[in-house]
Amino acid sequence: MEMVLPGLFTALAWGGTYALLGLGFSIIYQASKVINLAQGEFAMLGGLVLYALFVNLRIPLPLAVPVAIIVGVVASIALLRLLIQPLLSTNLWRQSPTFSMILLTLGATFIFGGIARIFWGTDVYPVRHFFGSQPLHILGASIVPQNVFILVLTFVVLSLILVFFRYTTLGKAMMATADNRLVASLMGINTNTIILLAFSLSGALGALGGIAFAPLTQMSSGSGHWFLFKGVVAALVGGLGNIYGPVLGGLALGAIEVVVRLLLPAGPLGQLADAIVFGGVMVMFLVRPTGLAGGKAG
Amino acid sequence: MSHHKGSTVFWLLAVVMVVALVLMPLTACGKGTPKATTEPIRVGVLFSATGSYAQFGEWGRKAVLFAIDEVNAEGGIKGRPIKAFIYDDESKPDLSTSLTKKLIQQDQVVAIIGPASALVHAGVAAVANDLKVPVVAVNGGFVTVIRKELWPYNFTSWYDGNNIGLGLLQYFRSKGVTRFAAFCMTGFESIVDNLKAMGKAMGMELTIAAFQPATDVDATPSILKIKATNPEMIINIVTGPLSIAFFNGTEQQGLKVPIGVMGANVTPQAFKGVDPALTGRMFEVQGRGLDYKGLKDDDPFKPFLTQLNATYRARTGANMNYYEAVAYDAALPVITALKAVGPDPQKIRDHIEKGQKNLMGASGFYWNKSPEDHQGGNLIDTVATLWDVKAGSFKFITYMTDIRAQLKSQGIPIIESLEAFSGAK
Repeated sequence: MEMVLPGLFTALAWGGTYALLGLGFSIIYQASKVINLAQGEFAMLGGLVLYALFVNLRIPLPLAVPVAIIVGVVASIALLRLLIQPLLSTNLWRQSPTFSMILLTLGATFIFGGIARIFWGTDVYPVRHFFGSQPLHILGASIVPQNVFILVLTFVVLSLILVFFRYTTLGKAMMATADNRLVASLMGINTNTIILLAFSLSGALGALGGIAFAPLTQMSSGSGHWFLFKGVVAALVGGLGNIYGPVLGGLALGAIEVVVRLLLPAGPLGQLADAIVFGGVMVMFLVRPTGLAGGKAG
Repeated sequence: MSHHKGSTVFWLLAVVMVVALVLMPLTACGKGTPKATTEPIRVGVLFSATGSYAQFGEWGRKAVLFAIDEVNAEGGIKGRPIKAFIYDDESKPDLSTSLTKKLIQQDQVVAIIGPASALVHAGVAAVANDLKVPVVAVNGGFVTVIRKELWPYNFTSWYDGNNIGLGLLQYFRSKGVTRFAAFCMTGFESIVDNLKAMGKAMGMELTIAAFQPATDVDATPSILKIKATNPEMIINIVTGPLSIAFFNGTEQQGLKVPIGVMGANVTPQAFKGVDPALTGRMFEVQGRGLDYKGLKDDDPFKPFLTQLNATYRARTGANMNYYEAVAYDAALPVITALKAVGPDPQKIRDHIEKGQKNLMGASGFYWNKSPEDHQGGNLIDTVATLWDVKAGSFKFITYMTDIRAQLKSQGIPIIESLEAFSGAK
């Protein structure tokens, strides 16, 4: 129990963060078919802005978190308005829409990273735990409060998103746009507004992932690539077809990563930790090409 | 007679021509002499300004340029200033390869100082060796990463990490510790193998070595594994965000045992984010420069480091951190060689390897490089220190000489160094 319970909470916390990141990636993909490789940068910005406000300026958490989320949203909208939409009118996009979009969003990661470096340099920034660093003692095991927080946060955010998509007009319009943009447009849905909303939501989720995970690690202007990698894998493992996919994918990835690290012995086999995790992911793709949650693969 | 006269004229002309031919280059040389003596000596300064090692590169460049400025402020070397050709390797080994070629072939530098990491040095080493220009890197993994056949023109100013681990084991063994664990990045298994073997020779048991990829950001799985084996202390062989996550994680998981810290965690910045609750249980063994203020008054390094740090502070506006001290020690052998043998790459290399004895370094080592040892420090020069999280500084505890005296009195075998120990891999 001493190892199982903390291990479980660690897996859920890692998985929860991956789920938030994957969901942000998936929402943009569903609404616009854009493979947004800059998704991790929103998490990086969220974490660093939180550091600046919460740690440097000592602004209380309830104020610092919304501002950090807004920065993520603004960055996402800037990506859409200043880079993606201008690209849509070019010959490059007409000739090779997927490749040009990947190239563009990949380039955006360097732009966001560069902007962050202007403000924060290349240094790493620690964010203190939101509820203190002393562990909670549950059934004889030490549980890190931040892990519990991430778990609760993930659950609440996902519930709200589910309610949004199922029970609000805007959410249904977004689902319709994801299903068929042309038909949605013909039915009077302003798909441009929907795409703007998708990017905003994605920016917020990315920033939230960075904010939640920042106290477990250290943030730097180069953190975005790590967040992107985890988010993309979560989204692909779970499946891009529906909103449950990234959640399932994130939790599965977190669980596999923790179990592999706990069980693998030292030595040559230990060096294969990530290879085993991603070998498992590859097998999963072969068995279920549409991801764990099924649906359209996109 | 006329024939004789003609012959004399011929010989006179011949002598004049020979003398003129001999003197011509000398005269030309004489005309150029003032220019040649003031011509700058070209030295490459290769550090990362961007990428993963940017912070280390920034410190390294700052300290090396300080060392060069010091020489130039004193009038240069025999009237010739040192001109630094500075490049950013972007933390990329492939780029460092092309920049090394550029430094040597285009800029015609006589030596290169840097880069700031073993990984980037790996991109430099072969080119420097092929083109026969000495490199003194700030590379902690020199023995592990740089193949021995590339050593001739490659040096480092970092003391070997394996021996730092040995120093930590000796310190903790002198305190009665017999069970230790290790937390390590995957790929550094050989260091753990060496620690295990050397610890065993001193009556210490490695309870577990927990490995995680350096790209991980949370060390909880390793902490849980280590905690289950109930060690009396842990040696940390990880740097970067994962190490901070590990330190703080031990507190959160109730694994409150001393931690011996290895690797590049030698600056206050490297410990940024460490929970103040860890004060009193984080230890380092490094050169005397880690806390020169705490050294004994009769230690010759104390006045040397006090003076050097005062100059550094006056010129740069900040204290010299330990990484900067190690980088300064990379510039030191190059400058010493330039003063002794002039700007000839081959002579500089030979002087660094064989001609510099007990070179006092900013990191607190007496440097004695040799054909067999291109690092050059000695474990006996190290001190044990405590990282005071609250104060943000290292606190001197004791000298390695005193640690060994204590071990000797306890009847515990003394291992001089990894090189002298036959049981290690």
